[in-house]
Amino acid sequence: MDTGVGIKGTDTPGFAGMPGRNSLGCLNGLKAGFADLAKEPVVAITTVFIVCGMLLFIVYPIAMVLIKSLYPDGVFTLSDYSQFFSGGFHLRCFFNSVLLACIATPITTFLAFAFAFMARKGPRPLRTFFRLNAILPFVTPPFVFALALIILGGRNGIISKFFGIEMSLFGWPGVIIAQVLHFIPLAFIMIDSVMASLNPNLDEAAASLGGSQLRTLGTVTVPLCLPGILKAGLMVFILSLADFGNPSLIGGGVPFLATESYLLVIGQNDLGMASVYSVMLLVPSLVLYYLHRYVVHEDKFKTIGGAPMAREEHPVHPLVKVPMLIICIVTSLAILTIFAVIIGGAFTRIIGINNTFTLAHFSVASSIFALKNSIETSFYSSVIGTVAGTILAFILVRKTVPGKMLLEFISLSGFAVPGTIIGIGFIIAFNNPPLALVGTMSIIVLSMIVRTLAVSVEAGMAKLYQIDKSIEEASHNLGAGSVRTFMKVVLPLMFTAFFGGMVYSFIYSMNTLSAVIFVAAPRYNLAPLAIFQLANEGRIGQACALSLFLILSVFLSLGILKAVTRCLGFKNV
Amino acid sequence: MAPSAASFLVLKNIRKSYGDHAIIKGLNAEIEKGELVSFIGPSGCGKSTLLRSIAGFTKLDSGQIILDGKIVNDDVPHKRGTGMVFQNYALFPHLSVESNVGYGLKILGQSKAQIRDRVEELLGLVHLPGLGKRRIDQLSGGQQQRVALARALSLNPKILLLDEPLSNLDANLRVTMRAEIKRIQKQLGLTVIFVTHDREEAMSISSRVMIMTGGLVEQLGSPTEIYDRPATEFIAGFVGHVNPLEGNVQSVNGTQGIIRVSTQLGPLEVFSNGGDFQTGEAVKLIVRPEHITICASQSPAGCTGKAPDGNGQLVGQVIDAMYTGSIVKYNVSIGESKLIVEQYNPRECGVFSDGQRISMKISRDVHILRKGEAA
Ligand SMILES: Nc1ncnc2c1ncn2[C@@H]1O[C@H](COP(=O)(O)OP(=O)(O)OP(=O)(O)O)[C@@H](O)[C@H]1O
Ligand SMILES: [Mg+2]
Repeated sequence: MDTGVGIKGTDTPGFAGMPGRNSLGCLNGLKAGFADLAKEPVVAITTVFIVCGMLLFIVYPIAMVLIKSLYPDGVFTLSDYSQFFSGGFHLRCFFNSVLLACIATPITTFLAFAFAFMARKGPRPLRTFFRLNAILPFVTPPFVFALALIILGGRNGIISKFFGIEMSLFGWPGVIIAQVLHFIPLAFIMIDSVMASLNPNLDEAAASLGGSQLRTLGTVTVPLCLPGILKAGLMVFILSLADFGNPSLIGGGVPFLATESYLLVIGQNDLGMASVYSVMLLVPSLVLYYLHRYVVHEDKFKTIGGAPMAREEHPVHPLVKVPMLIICIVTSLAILTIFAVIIGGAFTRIIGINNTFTLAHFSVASSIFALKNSIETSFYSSVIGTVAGTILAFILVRKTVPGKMLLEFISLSGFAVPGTIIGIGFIIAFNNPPLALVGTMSIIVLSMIVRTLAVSVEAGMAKLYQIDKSIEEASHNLGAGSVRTFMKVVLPLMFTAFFGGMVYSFIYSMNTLSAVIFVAAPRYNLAPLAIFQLANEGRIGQACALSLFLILSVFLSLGILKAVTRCLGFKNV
Repeated sequence: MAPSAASFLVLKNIRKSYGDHAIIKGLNAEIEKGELVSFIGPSGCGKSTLLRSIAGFTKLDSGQIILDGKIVNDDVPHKRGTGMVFQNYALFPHLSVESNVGYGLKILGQSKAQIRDRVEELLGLVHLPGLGKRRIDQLSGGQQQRVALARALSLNPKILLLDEPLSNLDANLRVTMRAEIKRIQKQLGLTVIFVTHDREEAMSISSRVMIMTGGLVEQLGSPTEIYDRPATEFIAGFVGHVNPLEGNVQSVNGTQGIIRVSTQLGPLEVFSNGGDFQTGEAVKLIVRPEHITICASQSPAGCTGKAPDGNGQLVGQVIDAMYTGSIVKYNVSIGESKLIVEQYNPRECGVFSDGQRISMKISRDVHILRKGEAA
């Protein structure tokens, strides 16, 4: 029997080494850390290896961006900054970006909450439909939504044609809709996982005390989901701030930081000012991330008492149900419409204008080549990233290493660092020998790893906090060393987290644009990049066709991955 | 059969199934005001389902729940006047102790001062005064239990429903908390239904115990009734040790209420307890370990072990003895049969050792069941 005083913390790594320790304590901690490491050479070597990798590929490029912003031409100057803050265009970009994030975040979070709620408590036949819809946008590159919106609501779009009204989604409306629809999955996953952990008896307790459903929702459900809601909001805010594809396709000339920094690099080769832009993107993200993680207690509320009992459901009050249902259905239809438009665009000559069926868009060799590259790089990056992330999580949770806090912060920074910065940092840092990596496959893989490492680290850490340490101690007790214990005990137990991290990383890498657009050269094109270029050139049909290919290959790869892991003997995936 | 209108809680022909799986199969029971009734029975027999349907969380297929003269089947949970304590307490983890206890009062629209006073009163009642500001996860298991109790009592329920409230507590705390529940029940004159798995718990605090099996009431009676006059052999075994003895009625002595039963241990005379037994009828005797008293050690010579004259005198051999201080538990063999015997106050005639022959006497108080009932 569970004694019941609460399940182990399911989230949020501990606060060992938080500020407040005096320097002496820190020093002792460091010493102890090194001493512990010395006893376990393999752990030590692995740690050193991973730490070096992180320093080189995360810290160094970001530092280079900072340096570049202060030393644009090798000489220290604040001129770029003063120019930025002197108002006008630069500041407008900044405010636009922040405003966009401030609009997209609450809408997305609210929709994701509605989806999570309805996927659990809505009408039974619709639940899976809602769940799938809430996840579906994740399988495409973000700007595919912009692409579809252009087809639908551009100046010559289907809607204008069909209804004979003058309308255009270009500019704010388009960007907001595209972002909101695309960020729903991320927010949904976070809110849903918290909702899953809620004790169903709480609703009943509230009901027996006279709480109406609306009231219970407001006083129990939402507050208890708050950790998930906050986290979802934070992620959406950061993603929206840093989003590159949607604003540049459907932004209609409204300047945003991420898009303008790209133009600064590609158009004007002004790495100095682009770095200032990046820093301005990075600062709010990092501040929010830090606040969220270390100041706001992000701890999920622990389930108090014994295992909650899943019981029969209680029907949801119409006042709650009907509005949420309408919202979810409308949003689902919007998402499905987007996909339908992409499919339509892929199979017609010029969708909306010449709707004759054609397969011509599919037969573009360069597209296929880009797709192959995407699969290849995403595969490598997800495997390497997840392995490294899992090991890192293990070290962070279970081992005493010096500078653990910092290490954790760096490894989770992928959540907070906009892709644009990684991209700009990589071209500054790796453009020259000995590490002239720009344009090679390895830099693409590396940039993808940097962007996704945080996910597997976090998933791994969360899982490890759930696995009782005594299981590992038992293994040690029976004579297994750290490595053996990790391979034979920890890894199998962590496999769901490992697999989840890998799937997420793979899909993310298949679709990412913001970092790779800087580092991928024409001779090493990627699918999202190719779609972006095609869309920019107005070759909508080909863009749709390649998007469709991309979506299908994501599904296909997932299927293969699943089959392979099944064959390897992991059943419960 | 009309249930007497006087009963405080009447459960009338209650049925509930999940899918085509019948869980409660036409259950009837009546509970009086001020009683503490325990529901006890094997896992999955429908205790929680029944409790939750009384609370209004589970909708019945048919039947009536009449609480205080009113049919409450279709009332929402908080209109029924039931307070519920969940097995996992279901305390709101994001609210303080105070806000948990005052949750329902606030919904009622009471003023801040009223709520504060009532919460303080309730916390005093459960012996947690001054802990109102604490967070739930800063409380021990026992304290959480007390908060849950206070919260369930906050709206002055007519009946308090507890679903295995103590199962998350360790053994010592369980004993303390059940005494607490009993105290509060007495103090407030509450009607309480208490679901538990723990027989001792049920027997020790309840005014009546309701034993359930397979979605039906097997017996509803006071702890002594349940123990001394179990309705079935199952119940007899469920609430304590039994040495079942099969036999046939040899003769009935109507004036003294004594019947003579032939058993594998020989003829035994027992009280019929008003039972109307016929000569020749197959019966089962429920012999509790304490129904057997050990008289003295016996020399091995000439002993058949059978009771010669029906007065309950037996001779057997100790297989093993377990001394626990106030009781000695013996396994005794009599011929082919084995009996469990408990001897209280072992100081009187000492502890017998393995292999020793002893003579024993079976009390006439043993319970007697008809063969049909014994099934
Ligand atoms: N929501 C439900 N859907 C389907 N079956 C259910 C549901 N709730 C309970 N049951 C079934 O009803 C039966 C009775 O369950 P119930 O929880 O009432 O038993 P119980 O007597 O409380 O058992 P325990 O002592 O283990 O708590 C079980 O077989 C259970 O599987
Ligand atoms: Mg139960």
